[in-house]
Amino acid sequence: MSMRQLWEGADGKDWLKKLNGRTKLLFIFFFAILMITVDNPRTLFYLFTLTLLLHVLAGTSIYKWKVLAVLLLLGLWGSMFSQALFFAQTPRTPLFTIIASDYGFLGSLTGGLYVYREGIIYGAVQGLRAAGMLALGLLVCWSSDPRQLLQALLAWRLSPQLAFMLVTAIRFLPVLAAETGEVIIALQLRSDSKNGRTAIVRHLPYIIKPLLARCLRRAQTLALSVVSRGFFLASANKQKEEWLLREQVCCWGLFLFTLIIVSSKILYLLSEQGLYFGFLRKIYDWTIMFL
Amino acid sequence: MNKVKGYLAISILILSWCALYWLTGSRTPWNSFSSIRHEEGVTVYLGDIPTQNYDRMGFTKAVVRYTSAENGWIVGTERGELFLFNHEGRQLWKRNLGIGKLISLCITNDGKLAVVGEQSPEGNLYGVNIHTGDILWQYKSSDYVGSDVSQRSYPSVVHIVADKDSNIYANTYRFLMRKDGVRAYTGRMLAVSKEGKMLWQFPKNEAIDSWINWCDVNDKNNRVVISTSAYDFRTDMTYKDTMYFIDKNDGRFLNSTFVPSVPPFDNTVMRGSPNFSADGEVLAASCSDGRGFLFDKQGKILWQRTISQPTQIDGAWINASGRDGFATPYGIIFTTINTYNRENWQLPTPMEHPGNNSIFVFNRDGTFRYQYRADGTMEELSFVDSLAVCAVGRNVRTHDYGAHGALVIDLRNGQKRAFFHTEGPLQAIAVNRDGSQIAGIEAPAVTPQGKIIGAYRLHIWKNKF
Repeated sequence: MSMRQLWEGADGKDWLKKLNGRTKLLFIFFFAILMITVDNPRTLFYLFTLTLLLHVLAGTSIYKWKVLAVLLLLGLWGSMFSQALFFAQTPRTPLFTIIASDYGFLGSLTGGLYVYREGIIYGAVQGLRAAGMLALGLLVCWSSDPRQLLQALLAWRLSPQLAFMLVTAIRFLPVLAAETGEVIIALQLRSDSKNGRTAIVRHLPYIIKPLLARCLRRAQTLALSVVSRGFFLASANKQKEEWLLREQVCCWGLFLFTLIIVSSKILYLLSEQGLYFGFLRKIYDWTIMFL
Repeated sequence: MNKVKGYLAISILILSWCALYWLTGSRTPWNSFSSIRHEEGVTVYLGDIPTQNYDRMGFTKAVVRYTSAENGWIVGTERGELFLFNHEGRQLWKRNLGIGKLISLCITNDGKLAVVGEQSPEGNLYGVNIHTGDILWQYKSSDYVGSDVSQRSYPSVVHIVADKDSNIYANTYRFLMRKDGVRAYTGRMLAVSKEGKMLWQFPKNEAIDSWINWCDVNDKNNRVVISTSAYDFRTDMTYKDTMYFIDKNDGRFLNSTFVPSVPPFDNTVMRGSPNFSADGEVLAASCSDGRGFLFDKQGKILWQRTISQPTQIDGAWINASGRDGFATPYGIIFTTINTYNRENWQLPTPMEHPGNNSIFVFNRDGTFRYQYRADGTMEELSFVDSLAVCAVGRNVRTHDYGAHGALVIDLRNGQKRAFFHTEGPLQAIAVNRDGSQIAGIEAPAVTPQGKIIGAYRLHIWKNKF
């Protein structure tokens, strides 16, 4: 699979590809709100698991699973390791010592380096938030034609110029990846260096100029084609994709669910600031337990 | 090779998913770092607070009481937060009562109302519904004893007691060090019904010009007693006596008792006593100068004992202050705290007074039964049947950190029945009705070596004895 194919939205099962762009965008929006609102590690874990299940149901190819796995692992374990080492809140319980505080110069310099139990959990929570959004974002990216998203944005009466620029930005990512690959190959051929990671790293400082030049050239072509096809004419925007009722109902359901979650959380936070109402005790209780 | 790496990544992702399932296993609230279960019970973190130096005089406070109506624990913190926890450490509700430190707490006889006192620019007294957490009524003690924020002279509700009808009696006071070095005290007792109606104030038209740290009420003799605890004594003071007795029904002054001071002290100071016996016939009190007293209900001295004799060493008076006094069915109990150098309370004392950090138990006729000496200060005592449950806090002389924890003593013979160690000093304690559960609050401290020990957390222990 080429670099460009990897990032393009042509993969996945039909049911997902046929979903309206509005449904996909709303789902990702409400899901993002949920991931930010929820603090409970177990609930965050379930939300993250849901995104992985969606990948399974969407029939994400094995090659993309590998990429997804690498990205998720980097985010999750990076967050957990960094927080485990540098967790600054209390209480913090050292699980084991990397550098003891009385270990010579390093010990006195660092004041001791420990792996803190609470830091691992804190890092896991932050990592799960990022991983959940990354997995869902990639799912939408891999299963959506940019035209779907463009039509969704236009259906919400977003200015065509803005909508076009947004979708172009998404579309541009796989293009940029492919262009980078081509530039690196060209640099390798010219320098007669061998393939491999070291050769790529050696050429990285020199890819900016050719990449920028190619991007500018591509942007100019794009602008000309957009103008010549009359993309921004009012008549061009009249074709709207049908948004099925069952998808709309699902979106309303998710909206209500998100609203309930956010309201519960806000009520609980207000209670902590003094706006406490005894008859809402069950809601506070529920919020503490699950959110 | 790339294929192997890819499958390896997927395998690690699956293993990570399993690890995360295990890591996120606790369903308790994340933002309080969850409660930690262990063999002895459960520990709940109460939030971040400024960590105090181990050796300082005033230290981190917290309050905890058992509520029978909800079969749980009401906890008040220095962060101004009030909680209801069950025995498993699950938070049933939490209230943020503002910027004040919650320093006193009393549960009414029916177990349905928690009365909480705070130290803050307003010094509020709150009546809180224990089931719902709703504030039913509140009074500002600044309306009764004033407030001077510019001088950091904040009013405090320092001690609260309730009678069997759930009427509340609360000591409020404010302290100010004047520029000329003279200490100014303003104190007043407020009596409030459980519905929040002000019953009376004592004194009615003025404030007590002394420190009033303690009070008690008894239903058998219908009396309320207030003790004074100002260390300095001036002839121009209006309220010079040691104890004032008031009619609990109408706030009428009945009589007062003056206990003469002993050298090197200027005044007789009662900080954590007196307390009536259940039958209301006697009153036990311990004084900072190291004397323990048993009074009759009128305040007449029945007997006195010296439990900690101040001793002059190299020109400096060394003593272990007496603090609590209880008249229980298992004896008259007095307690002492750490050893201090009277010339300068902040200076370390190189030795321990033999009577420090102890409880002394006497028969009602005044015969000595035993002394139990702990390794740290008994910060608070709670009683159930024949057991005394003690919060053992700091020992500023020996810095014995192993002393911290909850100590259970059998009052019949003075034997230690159980000890639950905590890393930091234990500052507050309570026990449930059958003695099967003990709750204590640990505070963090900075040791002289700069190390932080302990954390601000609630422990709920299963007492198997």
